[in-house]
Amino acid sequence: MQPLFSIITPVYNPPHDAFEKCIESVYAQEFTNWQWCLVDDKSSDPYVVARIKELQVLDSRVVVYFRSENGGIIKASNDALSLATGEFVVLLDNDDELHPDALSDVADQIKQNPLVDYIYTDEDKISVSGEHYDEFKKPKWSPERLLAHNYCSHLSVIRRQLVNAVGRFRRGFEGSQDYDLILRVVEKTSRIIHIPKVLYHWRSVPGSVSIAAGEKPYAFVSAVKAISEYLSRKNVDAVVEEVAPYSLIRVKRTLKETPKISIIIPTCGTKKTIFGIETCLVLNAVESIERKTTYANYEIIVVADAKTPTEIIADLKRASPSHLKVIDYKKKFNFSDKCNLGVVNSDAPFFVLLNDDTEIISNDWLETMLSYLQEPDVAMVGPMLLLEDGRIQSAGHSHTPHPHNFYNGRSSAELGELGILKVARECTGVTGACAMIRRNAYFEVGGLSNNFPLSFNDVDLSFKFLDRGYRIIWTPFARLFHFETASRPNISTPEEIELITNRWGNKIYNDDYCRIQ
Amino acid sequence: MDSNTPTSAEEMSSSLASELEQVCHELQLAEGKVMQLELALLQSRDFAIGAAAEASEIPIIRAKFQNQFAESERKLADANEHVKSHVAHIARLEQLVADLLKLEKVNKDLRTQMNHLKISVTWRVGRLIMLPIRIVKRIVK
Repeated sequence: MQPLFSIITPVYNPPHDAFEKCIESVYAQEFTNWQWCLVDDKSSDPYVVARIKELQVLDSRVVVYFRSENGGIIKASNDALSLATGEFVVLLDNDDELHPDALSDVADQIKQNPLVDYIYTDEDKISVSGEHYDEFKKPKWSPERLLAHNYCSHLSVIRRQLVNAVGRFRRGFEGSQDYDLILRVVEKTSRIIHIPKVLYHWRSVPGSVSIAAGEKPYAFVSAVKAISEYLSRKNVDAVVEEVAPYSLIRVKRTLKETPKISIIIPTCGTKKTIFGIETCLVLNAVESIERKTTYANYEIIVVADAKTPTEIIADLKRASPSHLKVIDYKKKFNFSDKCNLGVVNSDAPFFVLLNDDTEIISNDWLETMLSYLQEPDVAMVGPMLLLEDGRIQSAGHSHTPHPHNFYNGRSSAELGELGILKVARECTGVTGACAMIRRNAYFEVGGLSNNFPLSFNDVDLSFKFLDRGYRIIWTPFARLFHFETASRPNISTPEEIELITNRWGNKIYNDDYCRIQ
Repeated sequence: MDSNTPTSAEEMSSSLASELEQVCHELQLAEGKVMQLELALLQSRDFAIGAAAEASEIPIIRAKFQNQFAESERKLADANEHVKSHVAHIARLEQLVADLLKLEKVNKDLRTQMNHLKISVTWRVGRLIMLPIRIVKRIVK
């Protein structure tokens, strides 16, 4: 049985060409079981009114309502929803276009997942001259990212019953009314599907939000309000801030508790030149923790190889007299085993795996990472790691087209595709060079695998978390230096490559969270 | 008051201290054992999850190979079809070559016949009879 789609389009004086393109795109749909709910919001342009009347006469699938007074997009959209009788509503603006496959692709997904409540797709923009640009390859369902900006946006197809149940569009959210609706919808359902294909073309006309968020400051104010209310409904105590000047949002969750955090640092006491000075890496890391960290309840567990010079251990004890615990590692080098030894020596509910070739930048790095772990389904959080020269070392892992540190070598001042470097988001993994982990989850998945003594141990751990349904968050709001491979060369053994492929071969080259290269 | 009491208190205290030391030592050993067990637990869970992950990869790999196999079969069938049509084409060409050779032979035979005709007495007499007419034709031209 094919679903009936109700396309919801409030109309108010659209440019003629854009409106005609919009009409063409609806009639170009391969899938024909639709109704088009057009509500004219008292357009003053006689052409628009006449065209709507014409559509109504020509096609019984077009359902029309002419408002007696201009009431704004929210009233008009709700009037359009009142006309709808379809199982799903499809949100289409009066100057945008649907891809010809839009409804058929969505219908295919509904056929495969009959219980789905909300489907969103990729989108791009069309310039005034008709050129397509800014293709937005969206991630799969990413609730943390949705708190930073309305990445779902167009095309959104929602079960009508659910739209009605959550109270349709709300007044007071002008400019972000769809964002507010999506936030209320996703609160009620987890049956959400992303179609990784551009099925919506968003027209950039002057005044449209698609040109620049700054064009409609009221929309941003509404977005902040929508998120604040969403968090309040979910009893999340947080501050909602603007990531200036990008009109992106940071949700700064308040810490409910300040549990003990163990910072586990495997080391063999290597010295390297950093910022032009020969430095003992682990000592530098520990000193920076002591100097910068504002979070009080932490301990540092240094897992030291037998060859670590005793004077370095003594220096460490001097640098951190009250927080430090040193564990001797007497076996053959195995990074995973060393970290696991550190973990079993800790009784904290959260711990940080930290390479010795790191240095803290953000004072609130522990608070920031811990704030995401207050969500029970988050297992691991990674920060922004920078190279010595300030370029990005890792902005999380990406597996497109193969496993790598996302944005490695690029400027940390970059915004990234649609703000990806400025917002906290779900990702396929974060580097083990610095990751805060929930102890229970770590034990549940068997920790770092000893089968990966050098490389891929973090990739494997990330996949194990994802496999168990946990989320992994990367945040740009905690920053550290990572003097990459300063302490050991970045090599992987053939056995490690074979094992990672055998375990996660299907997923490893297919990153649904990060589809840009 | 018993003169031995302080001594026995000291003894008791010393015995308690040594017992405490013993308990602490045993506790340390137990903690070490717990850590060893926790490490072993981590390894077993990793092994189990890794094995499950590898097992769940197998059907996907198998499906991939099956697809590749099906694709190879299809390519092989295409190639066979291609070879067949090539063979037929070659046969047609060979037939044409044979036909051409036959025609060439016929042509050669006809040329021989014509050459024989041109050197025959009848042809020469005929040309002699026609000579005046040829001369008049040339003059007229």
